[in-house]
Amino acid sequence: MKQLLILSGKGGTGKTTIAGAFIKLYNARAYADCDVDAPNLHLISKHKNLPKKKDYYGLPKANIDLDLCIECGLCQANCRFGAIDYQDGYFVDTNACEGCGVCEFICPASAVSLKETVAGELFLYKDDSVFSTAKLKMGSGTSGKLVAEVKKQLLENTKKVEIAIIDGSPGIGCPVIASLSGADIALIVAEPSVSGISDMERIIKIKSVMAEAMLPIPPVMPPTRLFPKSTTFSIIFFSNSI
Amino acid sequence: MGINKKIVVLSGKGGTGKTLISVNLAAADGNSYYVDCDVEEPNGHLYFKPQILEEKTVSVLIPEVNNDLCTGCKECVDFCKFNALAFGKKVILFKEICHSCGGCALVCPVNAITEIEKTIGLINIGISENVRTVGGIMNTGEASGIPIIKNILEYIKDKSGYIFIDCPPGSACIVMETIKDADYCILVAEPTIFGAHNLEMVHQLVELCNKPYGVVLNKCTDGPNPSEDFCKEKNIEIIGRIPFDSELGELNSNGKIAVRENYKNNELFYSLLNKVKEVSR
Repeated sequence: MKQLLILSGKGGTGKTTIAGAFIKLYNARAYADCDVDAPNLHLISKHKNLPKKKDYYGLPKANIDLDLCIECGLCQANCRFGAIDYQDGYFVDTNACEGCGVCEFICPASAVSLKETVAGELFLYKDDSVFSTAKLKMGSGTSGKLVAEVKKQLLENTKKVEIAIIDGSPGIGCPVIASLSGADIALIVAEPSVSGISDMERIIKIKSVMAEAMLPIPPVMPPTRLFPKSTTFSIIFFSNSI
Repeated sequence: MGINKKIVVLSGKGGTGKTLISVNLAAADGNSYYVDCDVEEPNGHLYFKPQILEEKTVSVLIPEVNNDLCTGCKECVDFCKFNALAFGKKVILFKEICHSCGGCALVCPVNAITEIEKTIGLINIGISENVRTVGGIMNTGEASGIPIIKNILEYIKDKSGYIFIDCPPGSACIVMETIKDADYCILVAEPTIFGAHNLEMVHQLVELCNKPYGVVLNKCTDGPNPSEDFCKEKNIEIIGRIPFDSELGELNSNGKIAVRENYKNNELFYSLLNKVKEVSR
């Protein structure tokens, strides 16, 4: 199975629109939405059945047992993420906690333990086609790990499919890097604006770090007069080997 | 010190107009700060074209193993929850996935691990007319821009005036980090089902963070507006409407700031600014 990943760097350029169109035109049997921070593809996918849901656990997060805590403050002093606060006793800000386990290690009273926490939900739609998607819980981190789970769920549930179409997320950070792993072709959707070009240039740079090959395409609806005068099309037609 | 009002502009969905709104509000105020927290794909500088006054690199700590001291006990490898360390003939570090927690240096029984700085990006401070600009940029290939955003937020903490903060898209930790100190949040939404769905998400986020907020409807047409319907259903205040207008689109896509040009509807941004000042008082 070849994985076609649709990216853009900038948000709102039309990744989901292109993904939706390709799924329809190709009659794709396998597709996924890797924008776990703000998934949208499910809004236009045509599945009759309700999805199968599965809780997604991020890294376990620290929890302080106040009965054991001797208030030495070592956990707070050693936490690099500012995740331990004090108000009538030490407590963990689970949004800030990255689950590194330093506090658990450092605590002389064994008052800190790491507890599993639900950090999002995975959805699997399955009838004549398979659609894998997920939603990260508000304010959670580790979206890269959830992206990897979305792709794993897709692969586990598809057999003998020629192509999988994967809707990526904006940006160039961990969810994007996670979605690039295993992708055969990345398609970059660009928009005719200075922001669109700047963001496309940055996502193309990621290629040298991560992806094996990328094929950018010209913008979907290029109202040419919106192109900044200083820009030539050569940037858009960043030709490359697939 | 005068007033310090942090106005955060956010939207779940990308491309709804966060930068358009925050840039124009900052320029309309004239004596404000414009802060670009989208360090993965910063765009505000393309509009303000600021004269850069100061640049600071942002680093995080990563471990460095002294192989003469390392006994190969692998305690560091076992400890690392992020799987950033592995052991072959010696300890191998995968820099990109290291979260800089410092745990490996703590657990090493022979003190073979020290921490060294690794540059992940920079923050820059500039000026464009009277607007002070603060932005950051993450090096390509890095996984998280949060340390850069923290640096930016630290810099603006006690600056005086209105501070307009342009958020990255989504509703993940990076956005949460940005709105933590907000005095007021502007949610920008576009009239599509995608727009409405992602508005619902950021709406939950600002509710969760207990921040005062209002919605700006961008790209409004005469047609249906699912985002507006959502606001009405949830009784959310709509503090501004920006029409879908090719003149504004053209200015914006060419990196021009509407309020600094002779745009016919500039009154929109000035009244939005007044409204924001009123509601954030």
